Amino acid sequence: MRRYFHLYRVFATQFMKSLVQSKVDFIIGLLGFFLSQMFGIVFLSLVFKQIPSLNGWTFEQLVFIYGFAQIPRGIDHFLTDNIWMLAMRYVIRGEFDRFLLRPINPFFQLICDKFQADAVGELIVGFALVVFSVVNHTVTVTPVNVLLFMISVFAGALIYTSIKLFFASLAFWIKDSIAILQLAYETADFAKYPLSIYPKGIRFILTYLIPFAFVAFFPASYFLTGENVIMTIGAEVLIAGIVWIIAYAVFRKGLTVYESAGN
Amino acid sequence: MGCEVVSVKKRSLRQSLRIYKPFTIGRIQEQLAYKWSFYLFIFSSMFSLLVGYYLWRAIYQSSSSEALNGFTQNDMIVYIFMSFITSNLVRVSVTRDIGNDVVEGTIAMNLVKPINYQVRLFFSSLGNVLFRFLMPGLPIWLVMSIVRYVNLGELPPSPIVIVSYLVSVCLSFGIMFLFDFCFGLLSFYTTYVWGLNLAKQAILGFLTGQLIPLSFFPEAIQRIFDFLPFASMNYIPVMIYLNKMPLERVIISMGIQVIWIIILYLIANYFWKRVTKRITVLGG
Repeated sequence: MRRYFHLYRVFATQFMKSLVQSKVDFIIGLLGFFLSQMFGIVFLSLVFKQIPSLNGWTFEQLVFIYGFAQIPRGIDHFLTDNIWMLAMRYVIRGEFDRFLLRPINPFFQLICDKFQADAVGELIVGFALVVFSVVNHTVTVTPVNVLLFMISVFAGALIYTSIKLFFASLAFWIKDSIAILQLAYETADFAKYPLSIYPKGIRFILTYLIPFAFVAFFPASYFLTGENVIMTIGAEVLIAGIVWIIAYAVFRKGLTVYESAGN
Repeated sequence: MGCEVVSVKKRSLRQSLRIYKPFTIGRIQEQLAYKWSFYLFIFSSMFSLLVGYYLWRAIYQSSSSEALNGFTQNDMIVYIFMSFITSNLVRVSVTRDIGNDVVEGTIAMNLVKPINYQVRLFFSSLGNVLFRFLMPGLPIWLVMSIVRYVNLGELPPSPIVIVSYLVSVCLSFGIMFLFDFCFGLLSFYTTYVWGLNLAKQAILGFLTGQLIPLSFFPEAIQRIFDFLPFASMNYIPVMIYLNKMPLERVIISMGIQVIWIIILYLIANYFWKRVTKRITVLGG
């Protein structure tokens, strides 16, 4: 365990060095994610010039849901972005070999290989909007809430990681799973807005099949209303545990069927 | 090594077409090669359309008035569908093409070959458009039109409107191509093409009116938009399709589109000359 911490520090240091080297790239990527999330808020503010509330939610509440959704997304994006490579090229090009040759957990190696600095753009938007919501008293800060917030963000990031890992691991069988992974990942777009605007089918998918609703909407609604902590954050933690166990099991199973490329 | 652009002899139009047509066909075949993942990608790109659809429905349900900024709910639904189709049609990947050529160094070979690199890019992009017209453009349009006819008894717009829409889309494509070309030249300065593309997509998605009609913006900002090419890329053709403009306004808008093509063409040429002078390619 201590070895893993040490290794992680070494990888992180390397990442910091590479960041200094490619400042322009860092700023471009950060700007890209920052802008694409920020425009979503501008969109909402333009819409709310026309209407007082959306499906019973005020502008301030929607801003909180939207911002809250960015934080677990950004954390997962920052730490485990390399999972996409598993779906895209590691299996089909046989590059996964090197993770199996070293006496370290392959999943650990997979995520250590890259930190995604672009995610800082999402995190800035997320934290800015949450702070904005605290300042205008949409949500209240209490020690319990802060604790629940941290638990919820961690569980939400784990849900993201698990969904990515599950669909990326399919590559072990079908070689290239990038399109399926993309499809699953993009369903997160639905979870930026209140679930109640969608028909039953979409709500079912977001709750039970690809549980992005538990990343953002359910926990955010707890912080807004203060009701039902068990059914929102409790459920989120439970779901995070379940999807992680499933995803990691599929990944382990995939390792056993992995066959390298070449002749 | 510095690299001179090979001057290309004047050719007849027929000859040029014969030379450059394979690039268009090649691009279409490229898209067909991975059919399965291609359809999945299209399907996932439609999520944003679905989110928009349900969001706008909820917005109109929460509103006390029938129309917002002159758009009824029906108008808005047609707007976001046509916006999706149009932006898909005119979306070109020149930034990526140039970026990949620069990163892989193949740009050198492309400059040495006796073909015009810009024309080649144009014909490749044409392949994108033709393909997207058939998939997903036409099917989505058909489904939308049939659903609207069955549910509301509403016919698609008159042939004249559709023709003006298509003409305007062609102009949009020209603007988009030249804009993307200029943008793509940035990849001579940074190798992070993916991030560059993301930033571009974010800006375009918003400023061309894909998310929300530009008339929802405050007056002052709309005045600024009048001096930018973004409205000409997507908003104008969609508004023509919705029949929201009187005839003379349609003609003026198309005139503005043509002017943007000329301006962007001049800018693109200027920067292309500058960039190809300083290009350095590693390796032989």
